[in-house]
Amino acid sequence: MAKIIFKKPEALTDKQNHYCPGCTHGVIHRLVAEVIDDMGIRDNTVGVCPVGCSVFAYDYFNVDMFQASHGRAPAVATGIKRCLPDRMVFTYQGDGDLASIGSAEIVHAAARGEKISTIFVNNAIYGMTGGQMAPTTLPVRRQPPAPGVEIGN
Amino acid sequence: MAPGSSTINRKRVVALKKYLLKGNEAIAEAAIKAGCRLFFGYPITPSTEIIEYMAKHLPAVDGSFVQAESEVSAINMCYGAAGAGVRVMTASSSPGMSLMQEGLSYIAANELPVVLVNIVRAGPGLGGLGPSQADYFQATKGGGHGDYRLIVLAPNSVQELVDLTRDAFDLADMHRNPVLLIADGILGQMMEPVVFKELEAPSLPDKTWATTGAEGRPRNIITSYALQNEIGEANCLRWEAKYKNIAATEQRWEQYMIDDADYVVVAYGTTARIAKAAVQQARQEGIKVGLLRPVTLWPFPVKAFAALGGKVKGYLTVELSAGQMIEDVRLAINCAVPVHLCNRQGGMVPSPEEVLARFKEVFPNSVEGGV
Ligand SMILES: Cc1ncc(C[n+]2csc(CCOP(=O)(O)OP(=O)(O)O)c2C)c(N)n1
Repeated sequence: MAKIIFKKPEALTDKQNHYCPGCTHGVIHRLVAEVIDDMGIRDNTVGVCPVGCSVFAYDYFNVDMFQASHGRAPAVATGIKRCLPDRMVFTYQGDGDLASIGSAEIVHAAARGEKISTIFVNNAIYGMTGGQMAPTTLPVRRQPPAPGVEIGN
Repeated sequence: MAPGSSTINRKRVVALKKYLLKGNEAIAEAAIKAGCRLFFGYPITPSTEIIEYMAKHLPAVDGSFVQAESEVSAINMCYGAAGAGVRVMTASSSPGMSLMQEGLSYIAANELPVVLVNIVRAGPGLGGLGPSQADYFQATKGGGHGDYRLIVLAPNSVQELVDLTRDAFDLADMHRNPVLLIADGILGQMMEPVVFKELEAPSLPDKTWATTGAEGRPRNIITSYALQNEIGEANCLRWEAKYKNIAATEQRWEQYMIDDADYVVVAYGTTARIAKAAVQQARQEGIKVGLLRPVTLWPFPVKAFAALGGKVKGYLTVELSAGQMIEDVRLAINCAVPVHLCNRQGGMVPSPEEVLARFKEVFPNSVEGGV
């Protein structure tokens, strides 16, 4: 008889994702969902999704989900966790979200020692709005169109 | 019982001890008594006593107080806590309220019960610490982006700060809507005797929508994002219907010496106290003038104006702003008779004599033998 050795995690829905090929959000969603399954906490988890490409994470994570404004997920998660200290509360944030507009929220959630988990997905650009520079963009020399343009710094 | 209506109808059980309390502390104590267990805030004069009281007293009732890194963060913590189904409050003053507007828009869109307090100070900009009513537009017309409404309650005494704080939590849960209690530094800082009435709790809907972990039920999602315009429109129609229902059922006001009045002074909060004294002086001089005090600023008590019918010859609003509520008065009466403004700004407050003088100036015919 066939033995199942690999399947979709319970913590993911059946919805087909909208992410661009190669962006890695899909893989990272899966890894997070596998951990939720392994820990057996699907019913005990509240996820906070940001503004950014992963705004629709609430369609993919099969747990209670909360959509936050741009950068504020750690503050929203703080509010949830302070009410429900025995639940697992996580945020899932891009680098524009976490490291730019939301830098105060993440730094202060950490400084207060909030018992939340943050999945930080750094693609080094603002993906959803079309690839603009983020604070995480590395200083690299762009080749053609000439002349080369310094970005970053 | 004041005229107007509310879906919160209470039977009084017993009256308790009298306390002499500062307005801001009275709000905080009333909130704790109403079951508020989470408070997120950032200090700002003249509202800071609310935050300090909460920091001191919430732990004793197993509540949680967090001093946020900014008002932006505080309102988003409220957003999370309300979504988790717990009674939550924040308090601030004008510049801080400005920072909360984005979060408020999200809270309104997701129909979450949050109670907010704005102890308004003079603006715009950093403004001043004196009393002001210049945040009326922000409170009643939106402030954040999109088509949403707050239920806005405007108390005019420390006792009413207590009573309306309690009502604010029930109204928020009843309608799944943020409720704003708006006052100013005079009300927040002054001391008056208050009682905390033991009242029956109204029956409120269960928070089946809360994101508490999906154990034993289908998962809940709190989101206002709708990329499909058809869904966006359906959401807007649902909100619109809710706001219409609130507008029909929650208008509250107080009226004073209005039955035979030829003229009516309209004022809320602090200025209603001053206007009342002006009306009393005018009555002693034989001028037939009354006072209409909106208790809900949104929904604006248009029913009160409709009830006055065509009897009134003119209105005077008394405001600590360049004239904001006056627009709603004009709308309420369809500009049928003149509506004038008596105002002071920047933290200054008019005296009853000033109000009466302004009244006589704009309505010379109101005075016996006047022209
Ligand atoms: C207050 C606010 N400012 C700007 C935007 C527009 N916006 C949407 S997504 C985004 C960038 C997100 O970038 P990042 O967090 O890196 O996530 P990614 O899309 O790359 O996954 C911006 C600026 C917004 N929705 N809200």
